[in-house]
Amino acid sequence: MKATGSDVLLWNAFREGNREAYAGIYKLYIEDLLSYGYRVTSNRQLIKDSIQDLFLHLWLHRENLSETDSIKFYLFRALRNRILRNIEKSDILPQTADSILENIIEDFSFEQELMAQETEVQQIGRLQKAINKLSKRQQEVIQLRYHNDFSLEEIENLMQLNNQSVRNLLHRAISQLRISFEMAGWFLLLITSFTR
Amino acid sequence: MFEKYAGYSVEDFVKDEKFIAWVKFSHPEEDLFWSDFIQNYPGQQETIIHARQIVTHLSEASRMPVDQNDVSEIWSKLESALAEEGENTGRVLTINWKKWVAAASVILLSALIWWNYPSTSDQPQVYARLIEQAENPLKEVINTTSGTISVILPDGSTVKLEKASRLSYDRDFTGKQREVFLSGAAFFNVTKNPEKPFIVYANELVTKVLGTSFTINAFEENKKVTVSVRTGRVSVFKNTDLTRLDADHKGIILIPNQQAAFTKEDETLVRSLVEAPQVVVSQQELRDLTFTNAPLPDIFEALEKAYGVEIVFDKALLSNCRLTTSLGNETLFERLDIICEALEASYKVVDAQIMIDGKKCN
Repeated sequence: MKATGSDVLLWNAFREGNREAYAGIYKLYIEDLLSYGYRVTSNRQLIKDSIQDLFLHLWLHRENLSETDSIKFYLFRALRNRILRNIEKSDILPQTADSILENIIEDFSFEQELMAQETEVQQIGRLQKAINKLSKRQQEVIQLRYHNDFSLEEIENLMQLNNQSVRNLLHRAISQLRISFEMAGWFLLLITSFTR
Repeated sequence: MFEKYAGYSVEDFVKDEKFIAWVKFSHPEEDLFWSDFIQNYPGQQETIIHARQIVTHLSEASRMPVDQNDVSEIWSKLESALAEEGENTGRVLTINWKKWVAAASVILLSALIWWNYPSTSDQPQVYARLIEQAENPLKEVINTTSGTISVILPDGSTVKLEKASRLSYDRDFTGKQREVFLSGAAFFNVTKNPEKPFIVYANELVTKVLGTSFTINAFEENKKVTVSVRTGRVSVFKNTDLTRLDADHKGIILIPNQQAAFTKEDETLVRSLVEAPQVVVSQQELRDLTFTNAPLPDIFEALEKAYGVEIVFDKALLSNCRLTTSLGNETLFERLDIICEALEASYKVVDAQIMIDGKKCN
């Protein structure tokens, strides 16, 4: 992911106490952060609390924050650390992954209805299910890589892994997706392409 | 440089950094690289097509769907926490709206918002009559500050609500249309959703859009209600009996730099240009618009393009007129004043068109 000049401007304005910039940052990244949070842990309340804590912390300590040329990376890293910290000290029983998906999937299928190509939607739906069966870390690395467009280097930094471990994790995730598609025996473009 | 990819499998491509970047961002240079590659290794074409599709699907499928309720819930909580902090320090919210739209294409919102349920006291009458008809319970924001505040709606649309203005809206936009009610003035930046039109009721005017940005000025004590468009298209119609309307209602269409004004006295709805039309092309395109001893019709055509307006003039009559000028950041009318002065011509705005009245040049 390439850093942009507008990120620097927005970040600096926010650090100087511009609430518009602050709200703009929220608006720009909240969906990505929530989506990522849901991926990292199944405890939805913990995600929401962590994001709220994070943004409150950002505003209250804005003057002490360092410069950044990638707000997105900064926020992802800060959120991940915060979620992990909160998981450690939380004694709440985690909500199960299934109940989260139930809550969310209803909205999502509505979104998907809008898509013109039914078959493509089905394919993506299948892929989604396959991804949700991967280990949490594999799910995380796939989302960071293919959806959030972070570079391998940024992912190393985020997940606190070395380069080779990130590559291995990605490699295993992709292979596993291929295998689950083969085993299910779906006779669709995706399988043929994966097995070619 | 192609050899590396000659023996790649679908899976190899799917994991390749350069390949992923191409699929996701398609820079022209990368397009060139990969089309050259396919020309050199036509056997790899299908592999690439499949790999492309998988990367695209992975990008979509790996995103956990987000619940919009969470987005607004977290923000409201932050807002109350920050409002307290704001009161303690007496911080004043400053707004430099244009700068941020330009810098980050973000529509920004602020934290100083008072959430209230509709109360019947002190409400402007027309507005009160309109919100009475809403089907679902409404959320109301009243700007009692001396500046502009921002409101984020359940669909992610944002509203810059000016002082002494109020806005009511369906708490989660569950209906077929996204309906909001305004008393006062506000700038709207509406999230695109062709399935659910966004409708603003403001005094006797109804504004309907799919996704765009525009300003409405509807204080009840004023004689006029106006809607002016910044981006996109909106349709506006009269609503003199203050009812709610059905979705298929047709009104006049406004494009950027146009506005519609409803005059209460004679109940007319007139289209015209906004007070200071903004350039609608990029600064880069604008920079190229320098004219040296150029025929006037060429200059007018450039102005039409730069401001997205229509200029009506007699081409035959003015084709001998020549000018040297460049287009900068002036407003359209400043620019026209300069040109008309040089040519002893004049202009007027009629129904959002600019009519030029000039003389033949020798």
